[in-house]
Amino acid sequence: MNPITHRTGQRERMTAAALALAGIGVLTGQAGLLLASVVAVALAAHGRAAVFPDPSLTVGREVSTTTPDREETVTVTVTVTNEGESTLPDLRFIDGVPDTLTVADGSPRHATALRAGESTTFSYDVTAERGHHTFDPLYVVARDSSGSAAHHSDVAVATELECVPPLPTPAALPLRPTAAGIVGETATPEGGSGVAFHAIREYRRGDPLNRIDWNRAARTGTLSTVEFQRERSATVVVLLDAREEGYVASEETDRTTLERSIEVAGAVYEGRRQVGDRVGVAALSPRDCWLAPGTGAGHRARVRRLLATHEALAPLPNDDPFFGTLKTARLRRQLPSDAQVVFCTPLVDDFALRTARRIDAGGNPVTVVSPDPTVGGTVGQRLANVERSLRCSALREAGIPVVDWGEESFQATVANAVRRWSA
Amino acid sequence: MRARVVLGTLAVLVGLVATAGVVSVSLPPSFVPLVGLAAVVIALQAVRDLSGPSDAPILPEPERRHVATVPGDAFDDLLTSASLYGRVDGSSDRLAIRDRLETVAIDVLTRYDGDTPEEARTRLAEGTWTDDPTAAAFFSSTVEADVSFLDRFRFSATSDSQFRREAAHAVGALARHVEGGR
Repeated sequence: MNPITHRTGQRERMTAAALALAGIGVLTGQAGLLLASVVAVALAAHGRAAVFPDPSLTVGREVSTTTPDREETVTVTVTVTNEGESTLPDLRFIDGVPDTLTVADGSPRHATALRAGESTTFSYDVTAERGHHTFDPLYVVARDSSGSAAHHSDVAVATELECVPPLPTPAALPLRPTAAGIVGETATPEGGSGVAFHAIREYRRGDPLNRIDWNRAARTGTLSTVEFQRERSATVVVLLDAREEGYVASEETDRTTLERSIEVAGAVYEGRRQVGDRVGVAALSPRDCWLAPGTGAGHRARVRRLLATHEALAPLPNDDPFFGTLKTARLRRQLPSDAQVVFCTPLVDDFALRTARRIDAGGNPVTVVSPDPTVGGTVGQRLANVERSLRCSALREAGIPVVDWGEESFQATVANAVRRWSA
Repeated sequence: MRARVVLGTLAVLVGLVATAGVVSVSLPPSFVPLVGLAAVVIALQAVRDLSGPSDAPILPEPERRHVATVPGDAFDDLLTSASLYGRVDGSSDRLAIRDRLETVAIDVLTRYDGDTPEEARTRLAEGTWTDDPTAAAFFSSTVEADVSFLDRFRFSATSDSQFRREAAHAVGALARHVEGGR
């Protein structure tokens, strides 16, 4: 920001006080009041003579850790030094705490006077949240000794915090059965292409050359084909609803449903990874977010990082417009044809319902996991709850399973849902 | 501005010279209270100017934590403004609320009670879909809700209204339908 100078109105206040005192003094014949007005006149004259201060400050900001855990308290210490040659009689600071962090203790505001070369230090605590947080510049208001001329400016100090929470406890979310049978569990009794040996059978025309057992052919003179255990690992894409409608909560200060969806994504990823599936992550958001399904430690690290710090999943909603139809179309092109989709959405609007149906109808079986943000008791909140229940039943009617996540832990919710489905 | 400064300086000079006894300025006796009155009036004017809109830059508020949107709060606001007595857009807001609740009600009755949309509409119009007469009266012109004398007085005296009460009851009845799965 460019520095701004402005008059605070201190001089006008003093002038008004002087006139009032003098006027009342004259009207009532009290010489004391008239004399008292002289003080106000002197202060007004001091204000009239005020020049705008032009502070020359250096600012240092230190944090107790730059890579905190979630909910960890981080102490921020700000040191300001007056590098100019004159005393700054009235300085006020407001530190640029990132919007996404909450001040837990102390205050990011400070007021003091600094002689030339003198320093001041103030500190406060913030609670760390998931994501990448950049501090804003320190806001400085410098006033002259009369308090009537103020100079507003800011001093940039690069400070960043990054909180990448570990992936949560796995949740054994079952996938949808497909035409080829239940997918996901790797061991199947059928032979085919794969890695683990299954059986040897007679050569049939069209069998791939690399599966012919040449040793056996050399020994016996007849061609035979090696069959491996057919791999049935599933491909899963966890889709997060990170539109503005994804940033809802049952109370204004609660965790948003996006945070809960991210927990779902982590738990589902861990659960499916353990049974050998390939898992990817995508988001419905104004910003593009796509991590193709994969396996391995490197992929796991990428998932963890993406869930913590991707700009599409920022802790605050993005103001850019969201073009739903275009985004859904692009997502459907990106989805591998055999991929199942686990869609995490609070289901607070019809777009989420339509998207789930559209993806499902396009051949990628969808399972919806929905953190419930409609538990409040006002008329509007109860109506939102009714509308959400209707969306859940519409999805179930279309054959799309819905895991409705309320108060208990996600893992327990999944376990209950599985028990209900298998009953 | 310049004229005022010249006038002020001149007045002070004349005053000083007169005090020293060099010249004598004869003023009417009513002049002094007049000056006092003028000073008070100008002071009041200055106070009024100061209390006007300020041109001070807006300061950042680092303690302000972003708050999440709560689903349903927008409806609550709409219901409150639609219920306000004598509001200009009140009737169109009330119509919008009625339409929205009717759509939801038809959806609930078709899904949970197995009605066709036609049947649902008829039951809403006849008020036979719920035991709660206040909820039934919201969609029906034939059902009258019981309104006590005290309530009538309250509705006329406060921003609370019969419409708001019926809407709340209707939403409550729909919520019970959904929870009961019937």
